[in-house]
Amino acid sequence: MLAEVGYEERLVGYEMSPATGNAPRSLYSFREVCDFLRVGNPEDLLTKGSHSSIGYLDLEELRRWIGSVLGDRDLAEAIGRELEAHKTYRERVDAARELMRQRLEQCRAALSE
Amino acid sequence: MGKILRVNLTEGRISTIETKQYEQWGGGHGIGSALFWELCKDKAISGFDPRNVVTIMTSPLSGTLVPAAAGRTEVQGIGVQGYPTEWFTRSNFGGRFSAMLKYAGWDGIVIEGKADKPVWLNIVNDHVAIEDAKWLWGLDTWETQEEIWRAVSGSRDFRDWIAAGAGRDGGRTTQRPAVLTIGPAGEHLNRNASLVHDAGNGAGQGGFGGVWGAKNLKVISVLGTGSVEIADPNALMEARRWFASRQYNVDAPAKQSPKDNFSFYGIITRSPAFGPLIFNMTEPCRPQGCAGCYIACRRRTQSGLGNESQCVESLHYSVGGPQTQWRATDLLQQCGLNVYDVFVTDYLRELYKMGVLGPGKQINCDLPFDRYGSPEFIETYTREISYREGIGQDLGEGIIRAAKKWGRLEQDLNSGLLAFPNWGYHEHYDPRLEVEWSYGSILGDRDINEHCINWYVHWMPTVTAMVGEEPLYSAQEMVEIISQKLVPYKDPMMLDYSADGIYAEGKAKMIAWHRHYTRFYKQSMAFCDWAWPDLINVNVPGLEGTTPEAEPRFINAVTGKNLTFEEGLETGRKIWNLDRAIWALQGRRRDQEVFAGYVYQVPTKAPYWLPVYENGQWKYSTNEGRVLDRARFEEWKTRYYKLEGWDPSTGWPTRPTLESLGLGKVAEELERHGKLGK
Ligand code: SF4
Repeated sequence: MLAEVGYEERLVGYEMSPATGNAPRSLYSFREVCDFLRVGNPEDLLTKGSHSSIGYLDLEELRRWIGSVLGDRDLAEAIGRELEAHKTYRERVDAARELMRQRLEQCRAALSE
Repeated sequence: MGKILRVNLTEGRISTIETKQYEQWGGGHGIGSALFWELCKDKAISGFDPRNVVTIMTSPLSGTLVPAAAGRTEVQGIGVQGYPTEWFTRSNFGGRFSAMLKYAGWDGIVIEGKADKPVWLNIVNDHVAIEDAKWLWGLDTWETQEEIWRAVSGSRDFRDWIAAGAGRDGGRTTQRPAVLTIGPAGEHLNRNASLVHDAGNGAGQGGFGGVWGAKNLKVISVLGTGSVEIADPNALMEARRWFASRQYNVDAPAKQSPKDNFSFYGIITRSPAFGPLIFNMTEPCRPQGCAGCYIACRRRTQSGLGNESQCVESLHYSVGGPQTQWRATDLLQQCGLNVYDVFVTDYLRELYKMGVLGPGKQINCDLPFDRYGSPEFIETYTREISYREGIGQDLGEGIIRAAKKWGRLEQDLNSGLLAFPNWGYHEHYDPRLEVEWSYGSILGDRDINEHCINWYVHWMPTVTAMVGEEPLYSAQEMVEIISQKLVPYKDPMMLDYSADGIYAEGKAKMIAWHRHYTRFYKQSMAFCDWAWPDLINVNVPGLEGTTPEAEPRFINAVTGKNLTFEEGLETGRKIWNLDRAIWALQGRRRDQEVFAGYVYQVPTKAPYWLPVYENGQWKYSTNEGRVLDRARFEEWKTRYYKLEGWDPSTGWPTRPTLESLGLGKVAEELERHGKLGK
């Protein structure tokens, strides 16, 4: 689950910063995706340095990637349910992020990190 | 108007040029282009050729109290970054160099030839000397400046007076010299080497660091103790007071930032001292700005990390944690590298992941990708490029030429893996959507880096969306206000970014206005890109910015002239045509003015806010799924060439157009070379 995937299996997101427009970013691991996916808020913008833009992902693509590339069908299905339940991009991201955060914690605990 | 310093490095000769002869060009870029036109006899040479002529120009506003216009310096000449042709190009940097040059009595500097050994130029008022720079060669840009400060000022305390000349009236100052220098990257003739001044002012695009390296020129140092004469000081102070009353957002801001110190927001509300865009410093720091600027958009920090760097340079290594990012940015400035060319670690990592780059791979590379995100990775990467070690031997040629050597250029430009849409320059704003930027770039010589319209059409809706707020003004309000300022056209459709609007007549007018405005007001009069034009101001009722009233008001107060806004635009058109003539002599053809393949082939995939006019209404749209249509863009080019009075089949300026601008001699020269439009 936490291993890096290969080039063909990567997930491409878009770093949306007003300073440079939208820049594609390749993501090679679940950790990188968890770190990347975010919707801006003033708090993040102030405290996260260059990570102060929107980390944009097509959320349907994210769901498929987690299910097929990482093979975590349970998480993919749970994210799918949240995407159905929420309307705006911000709400969907917040819900998906929370599920992903929990899964990352579980993985870390299993690895005793 | 005073004099321009002319330095021939081959002959070791120093002379002066009366600025008055070039008054019709305004200052800065206009004079630089005119000087280049006259002094660079063969314009089709390489930027590394000793015959290349480099100009470093101030403007009539440099060193004065005109807000956000006194501290910028324009650099021109044949650059070495452009691809496939090393176009005549420009770069620009802030700080205190232009003001100091004026205080020393100079309007600009022309560099010709090549020294036979490393030299530096020592300017103290009207004393100018070409000096041996062997002791400086090999030092980074910060070490070099400290050495020069010691050499020119002696080891004095920063509170001490420095005597600029002998005797009581020789001039005294507490300032250290303003130094413009190259680092190791320039010494190694990198095409991505910059010129650096103070901690974080860089002229990056164009690769002028490499051009200086080829000329064996390490440093220009200037110390001035004079002042700038103002034609009407009262009018200048009145203009400042008027501007401050409309502009500043300190005591009772109409729009509160959702958070103190929030620089992204500050730039759209025009708060003074809004701070750097990317670095969100949590440590004590204070605002820092170019000479005479009220915005002071950079910071000096308690730790000293990231001092004065405020924009894309701070993205040099955005995968690291904040401390690593700041350190990486400082390293970039110390080495004298242009971030917009070396900002490709993600691309290299893609090649590594594909298995084509790495130790013993098709592209041999020893960068520690297993530690991507760590300080070690970026230190190794930056050092290898700057000193041309390892993969840096290729990357010092610039990423485009490196990719060409690796046999990857075409496929990676087509897929967008290398997002370099025009002339070998990195994508800045989306070329498929924000076309005032991309069209302006492809019709010119580089990524334009001019935010005139971008603040309003893209930044504002993007920043407010980022923080979950409603836009500060509606698309309809924005279009109504801005279009009235886009004289002489005043056409709202200039601001339509819809799938049809970007190919329409309105967009041709938009590009023409933008090219002419920036050539005169930004690059020749040196109004800073971060502040001008002032089209919308959220701090006043009605949201009206001070453009087009402010620019001529300030210029006239300083120069005593009676310039109108439209006359400034007309001078901008003249400069734009002269530049266009230079590119024609360098081999520019219409069929070269096309974008990299991905711009036409790969649809946009993420939201990108811009105003569109659809179904009789203005709105901000996210514009997903767009590509640029090749045939429609070609039709648009024809429309634009006709609007400018250029030959639609070649894109070259015609005799009637050039003669109407007083450029009959330019027409003759183009005709002699078979490059005059029909
Ligand atoms: S806005 Fe920033 S870059 Fe522009 S003149 Fe002011 S301090 Fe310099």
